[in-house]
Amino acid sequence: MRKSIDAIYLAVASTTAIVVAVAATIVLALSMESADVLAREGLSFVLSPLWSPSEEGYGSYGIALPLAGTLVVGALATSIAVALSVATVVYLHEYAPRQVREAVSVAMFAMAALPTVVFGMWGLSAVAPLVREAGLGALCARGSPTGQSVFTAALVVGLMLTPYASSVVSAAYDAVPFTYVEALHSLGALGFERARVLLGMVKRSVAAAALLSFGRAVGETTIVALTIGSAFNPPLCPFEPAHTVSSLIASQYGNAFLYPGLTSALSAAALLLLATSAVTTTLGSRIARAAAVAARGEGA
Amino acid sequence: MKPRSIRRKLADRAVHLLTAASALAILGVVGHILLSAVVEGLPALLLGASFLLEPPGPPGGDVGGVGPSLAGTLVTVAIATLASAALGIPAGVMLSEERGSPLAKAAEKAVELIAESPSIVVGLVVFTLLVVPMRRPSALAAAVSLGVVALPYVAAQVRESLAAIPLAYREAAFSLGLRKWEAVFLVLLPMNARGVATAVLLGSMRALGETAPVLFTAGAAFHAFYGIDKPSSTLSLLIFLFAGTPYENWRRLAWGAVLLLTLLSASLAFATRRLAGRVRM
Repeated sequence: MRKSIDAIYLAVASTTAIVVAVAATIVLALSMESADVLAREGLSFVLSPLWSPSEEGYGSYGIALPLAGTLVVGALATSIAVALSVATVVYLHEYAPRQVREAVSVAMFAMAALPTVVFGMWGLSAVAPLVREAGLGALCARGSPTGQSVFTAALVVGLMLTPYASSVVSAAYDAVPFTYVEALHSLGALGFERARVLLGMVKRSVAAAALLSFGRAVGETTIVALTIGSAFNPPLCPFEPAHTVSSLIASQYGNAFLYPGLTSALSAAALLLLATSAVTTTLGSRIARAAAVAARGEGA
Repeated sequence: MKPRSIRRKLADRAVHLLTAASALAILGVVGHILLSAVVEGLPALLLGASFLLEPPGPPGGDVGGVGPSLAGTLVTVAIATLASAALGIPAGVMLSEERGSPLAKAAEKAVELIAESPSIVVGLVVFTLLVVPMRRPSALAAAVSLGVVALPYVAAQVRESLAAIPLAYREAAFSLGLRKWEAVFLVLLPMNARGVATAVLLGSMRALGETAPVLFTAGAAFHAFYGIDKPSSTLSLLIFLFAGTPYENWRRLAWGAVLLLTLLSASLAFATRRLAGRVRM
């Protein structure tokens, strides 16, 4: 008995070591692939707006435009997700009757279960035509003729992130000790006054939700590739098509072997994506954990 | 009434309306997505066996079916589920039971890093390490990248479920003279079968819904399922690549695939929820 348990333990430990190896492989493989382009381009890989794989010789690889696209789409999508989820959490906790609360929570659950490609298809065939018909493209110099734009992508990604952001905010809101809620009621506070006090108490969790959503928005590929319209524009006007780093990878990696430096450049882009997503997500979960610990402390 | 209290009531009414509007917007969006999937996808799905078994029709011709992609989905998701379970369950056990040991600390970081990796990044790495040496995309390469994407979810869920077991059970096991790992493998894991099953289902749901990891690893073989080591495709990939085509019949097929994928994903989600009571997603 004892021996077989030891054998199982050994198997578990070595399997765990494989998981560590998988993570290390991701970072190592990407770094090795991207070393080439980073050595050639240096800082101008991030700073230059010129992306031209077909240029004679090695090609020119500057990722500034898609990188700006990623940041803008990420920021817009995060704002939409956080605004929607904070408002919904307040509504569900302070105003909604029970049946409505249940209906919305089922809807959120269904939304979280939808594959991103379904959101993408919906964005392409429902949201983009709406943007086009509304004539929003006319507001920008290079307005999108198809309705695929920075705004379209950010809106659909923001909606996709909403259930995720609300689960973080809602958990924090629920964790506020009941004595505070009781005290607010006994003072005769109205719904928005209770919400203002309680949101003030969970503001760190709202910040965490924002960072975690941003981390996911940065890496989102499927939705963005279908709805952003893939063009090398600076993302200054939201109704123009643009690129994000992820949509650039999705649209060019398939043919990357045709150009000498493209595979390396796209790997470096992926490495940048991984770093951005990892930093924001780590920061977000750290804040969320600290907020949860603080909430427990106040409750005691 | 005093003006101040009127102003308060008005502000409350305004906040009530605004927040209700956002809840309504969420209901509306979910409703519209599901309704579009049903309205646009049902005609294709109602073709029945020919939709589920046949390959897509020629551009501009018949709708055809998603047979090869469905087969590819089932094979890749099955392999990905097995792989993510085989790696994720032991890792989750280690994360929960050996917290603070160097190996568990490293695994904690590793699981976090994989979870934070955008799924397209995982696809790129698998392309470099599997597709290039094998000289072609394959169902196997797609399954490996889906498995890696699902792995952190399985590990995290196993860890959570083990950590949620009340201390009394551990004490009881120890008081019977069991050593730590005997307690884990003979008592805690068996009594937590539900938690482990939930984790595996969650992983498979993840693998089913992902598109980006298979974009460059599966190939785009929509016309037949050729085998594990040959180019293949999945439902999600079919939707992604057919969504933007100008051919009406291919878009109809993509919508049919959307409905099918949504049904599969929703049934996995509800199975997970029934099994777990409440799952953190």
